[in-house]
Amino acid sequence: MLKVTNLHASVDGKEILKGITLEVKPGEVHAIMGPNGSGKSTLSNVIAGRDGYEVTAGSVEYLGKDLLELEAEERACEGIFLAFQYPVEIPGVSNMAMLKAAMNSIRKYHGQDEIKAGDFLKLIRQKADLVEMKHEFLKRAVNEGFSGGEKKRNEILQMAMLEPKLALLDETDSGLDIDALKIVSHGVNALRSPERSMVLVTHYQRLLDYIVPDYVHVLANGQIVKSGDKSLALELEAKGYSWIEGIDDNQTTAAQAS
Amino acid sequence: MITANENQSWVNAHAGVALPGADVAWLNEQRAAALAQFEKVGLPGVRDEDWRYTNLRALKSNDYALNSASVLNVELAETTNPRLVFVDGHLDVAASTGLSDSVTSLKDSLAIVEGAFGSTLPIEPHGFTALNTAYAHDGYVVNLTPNQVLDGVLEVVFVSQSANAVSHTRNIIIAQANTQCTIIERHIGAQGSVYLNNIITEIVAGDNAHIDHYKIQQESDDAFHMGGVFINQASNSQVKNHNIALSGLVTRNDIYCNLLGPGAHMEMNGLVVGKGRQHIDNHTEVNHAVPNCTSDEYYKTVLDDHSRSVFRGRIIVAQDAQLTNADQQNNNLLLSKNAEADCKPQLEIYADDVKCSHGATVGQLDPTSLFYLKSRGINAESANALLTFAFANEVIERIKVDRVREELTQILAGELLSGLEELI
Amino acid sequence: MSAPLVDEKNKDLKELVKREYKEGFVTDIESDTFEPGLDEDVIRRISAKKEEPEFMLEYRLKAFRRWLKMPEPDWAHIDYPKIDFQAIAYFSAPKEMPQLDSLDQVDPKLLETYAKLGIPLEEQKMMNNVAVDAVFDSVSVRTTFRETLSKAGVIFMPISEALQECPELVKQYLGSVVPTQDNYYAALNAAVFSDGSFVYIPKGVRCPMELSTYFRINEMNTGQFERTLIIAEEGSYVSYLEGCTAPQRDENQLHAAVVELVAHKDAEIKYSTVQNWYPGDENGKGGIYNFVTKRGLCKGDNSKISWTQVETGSAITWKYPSCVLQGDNSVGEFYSVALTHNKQQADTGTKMIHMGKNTSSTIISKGISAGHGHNTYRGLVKILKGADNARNFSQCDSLLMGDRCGAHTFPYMEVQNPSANLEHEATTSKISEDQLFYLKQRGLGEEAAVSMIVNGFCKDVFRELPMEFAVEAQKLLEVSLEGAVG
Repeated sequence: MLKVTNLHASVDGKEILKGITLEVKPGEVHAIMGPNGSGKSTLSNVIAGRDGYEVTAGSVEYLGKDLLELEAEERACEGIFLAFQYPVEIPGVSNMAMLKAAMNSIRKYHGQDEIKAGDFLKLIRQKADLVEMKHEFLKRAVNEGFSGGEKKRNEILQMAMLEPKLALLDETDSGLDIDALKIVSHGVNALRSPERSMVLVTHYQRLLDYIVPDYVHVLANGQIVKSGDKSLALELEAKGYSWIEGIDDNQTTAAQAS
Repeated sequence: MITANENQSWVNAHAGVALPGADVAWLNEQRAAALAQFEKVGLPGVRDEDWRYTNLRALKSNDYALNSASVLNVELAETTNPRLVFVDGHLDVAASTGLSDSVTSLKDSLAIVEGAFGSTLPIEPHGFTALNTAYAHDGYVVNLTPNQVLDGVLEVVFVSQSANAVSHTRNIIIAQANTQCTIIERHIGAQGSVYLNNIITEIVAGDNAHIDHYKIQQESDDAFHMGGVFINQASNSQVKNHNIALSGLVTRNDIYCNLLGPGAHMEMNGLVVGKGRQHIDNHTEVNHAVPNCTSDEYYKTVLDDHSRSVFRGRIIVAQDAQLTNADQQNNNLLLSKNAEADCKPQLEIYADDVKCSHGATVGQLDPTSLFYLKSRGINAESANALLTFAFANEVIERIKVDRVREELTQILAGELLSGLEELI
Repeated sequence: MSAPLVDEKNKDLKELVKREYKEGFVTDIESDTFEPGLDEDVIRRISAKKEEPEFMLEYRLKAFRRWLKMPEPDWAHIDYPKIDFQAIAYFSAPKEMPQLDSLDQVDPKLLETYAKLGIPLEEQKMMNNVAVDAVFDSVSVRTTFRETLSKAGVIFMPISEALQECPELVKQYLGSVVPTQDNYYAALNAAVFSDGSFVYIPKGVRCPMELSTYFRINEMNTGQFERTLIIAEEGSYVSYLEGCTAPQRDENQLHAAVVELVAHKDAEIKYSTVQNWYPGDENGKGGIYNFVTKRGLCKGDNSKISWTQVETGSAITWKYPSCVLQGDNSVGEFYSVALTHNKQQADTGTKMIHMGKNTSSTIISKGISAGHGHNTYRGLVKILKGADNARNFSQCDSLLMGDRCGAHTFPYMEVQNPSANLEHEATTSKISEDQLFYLKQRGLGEEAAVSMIVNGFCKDVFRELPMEFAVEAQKLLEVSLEGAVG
């Protein structure tokens, strides 16, 4: 599904990603963990196609296509969904209006007709229930005046509506209390399927108690320094990031000594 | 003597007065140009957009004379801080302390101020500014060489003690790179005395200069105060102007700031406490000429009796001044049915990547807060006074120099909390 | 991030969406047009053409003499070459004037013109429940649904006709809200206005349908000077809509209208405008100079006047729909979206004059500047001494698109009563990169994303428009912004 090869990317001339290689197959859930500033959010933004990130080397292949050639909205239409770490407020634009426009834009891209108003309404109510969101929120402006937890739930609602093939969840757990975390995780788990892949970007292992990943990668200083299964996350939690970085340091020291 | 309401007579009245630097070519050039400007525009009237709310009839109906040097005949409170004393616009050396290489009088510093003098003024100054340039006779000059820090607080007291005196004082602060100073200007006058204090302070802030400038106006209740503070700021400089107007019959302040180097920051704080028949007109202007500058303006007005205040706050963001961040707040509290507040915020924005906002309110004390205080057993009058004080004191609280802040809090308490000072 | 909104890579998109002003056609119709020029004789001829009562001629001449002595205002934040008032023709009418009682007698070319504009004048094809008065150059060509309206006692007719049929009513109110000497353009209008709409809603009547006037300038070198007068008697209600278009011409044309509203006790007038005069081309060539005086008087207690405007056209817009809140508890509202693109300039806003007790006013102004457009909000909220407990809330937001446009805000507040409560907020910002990326990530293209954000920005104003107009306004905004982001 997604094949990232030796990806280098920089922001404002500063290199953030220094050679990332990662393959995600259909149905797999990968967790990318790492300390602040390790490049986690940069990776998801580069995959989603945000302006201001310059890819200096490497490639990203998605469903056999060169992803880096596509505009952000084309990537979205191709089934890539980014759940934002900081969902954006858009005054005056209702949640429903935005989602309907997005759905129809994606349908049009695939040569499908617009969704019928009645079907849309039914669908969005059903999905709102999934993330336990009150229906009145659907009519409110996108994320405006939402609490942190409500914003994150709204992201999952949008994901449920747009049914992406590859979902990137950027620090979806940050700022959530335990109840909100359970609701969000429940929503995400309900969307797991053999065709849908997910990449969870997180600082803490806590999220992975609820959304159990198939693979865990540790990102440090713009590179994946360790990969493993979910037990790696637990080990990290127990020993802290310095454990990984410590190994890294020791290796460097050892290399220098020899 | 000046006869009323005739521009030419204003000029004639100054003829024959000996001004410093009569042989200094650049100064003479500026004076001649200013005189030509004055002859062109004359004294402003309500037909001028910038003066539409300020009637100068009372000012124009008096005669004024420009005095030569005067000697202080009132007693000032003792102070251990350096303090310059100007009497009717002339430095009284005997009464002053703190004069140094860096702190001098304009008369003695013409060579130092060449280039700075007049450099901050608007291109088309109004009549009072033009007169000030044409007849500037004295003022203080602070000249800081790179990395110089002027220790403590320099206080400058302007005393108007002669009836019907007019003074055209020009102060100049030249703060070169990485300098720092705190200067307080106080304006006081003999109660009941009529005079015209036409005073301008120019501030030239070099790279990374930090200047805290205070202007505390406590003129006679019958006096006219025409003030200008004109500021040019280079990169990363920080200038804070605090403008506290507490008395005077008609006060006008033009506070103009040009942000000319990236990273410059301007802060303007203002407080007007009007009573009696006072008229206070504050015109501020922040000109964001280059990218990445910030400005923060906070003006509050409390008006009682027949007083009237005018606030004009203009923010200009030039075409290439991207990433500007400018904010302006103006809040007015009317305590009397005969008071009037006129307020004219203006945003002129020619760049797109900016964040600018202004807010203005005119209103009363919050009824919920009033009720809260009353329910705690405080009578209505005291509750009103307390909340009014709290409203005004928010400006004072932005003052960083403890001594000044505490003093102004006391003055404000005296103005607004008579008999209730123990409550704060 | 720092990537610019207006992006090189989208230049071809710009080409793709570049669109002509769709209403820019000219109707080839024989006209009776005066020679350009203005003097007392021209005014006498206009009045004679209209067979006006004597008082009107006097009214016009008095205004003209005033106008001659008035200076042209120059305080607005707009820049344009001096107007040569002698180069303008002050009257133009289709030669074959229709009898207004039957559609058959209307020149088919005129019907075609309005049909092209999407305003069929045949009643069976009309939008439900909207009566239309169509003004072509200087005269009204057709007013629909007159019968239905007259059953309700509502008078809706061209003002020239009202001067024949109910001259006393017109005489009583004409100039009562906007006196002839009010300002330069109002004086000019009083001297030369040729037609416009007259509306009278009797006591206690809720006007059974929306009333609407479509103004069309067709003839070259012609100025349009229409005059609208709406009177709502005690306890009545009317919603009035106004739309304007003009052909695409290289020279500038002057439009100087006056609108007066009078709301008596407990009456409500809702006045909506979608202004789409030809804006000129992308180099600023051509376009309408729109100098308009609109003012409503809330004369009676509990009366209400609400202005809603969507201004996307005109090369120059100079217009301040205002409310004089004379009656106690009266309410004034102003909702505005003004868009300037290419080289358009708009200086627009409102005046709320509070005179009565417990009066309240609301101002919501949304300015959008794109290209080289300059957009200025200018407003006055004045609380007079007797206006106890006056309330005002003003919100003026500006949205900038591109680094060569400007947004300016000049509010004035004058408060002479201590019980007043005024709150004014203004912000200026650009569409954030974050918002754009968010919407793109959900699958929307750049144009769709921008359009959605802009519509959201204007929502508080659009929802004040009658449904049909809201849809039209939204589309108009979309079309006017095309190319602004590419």
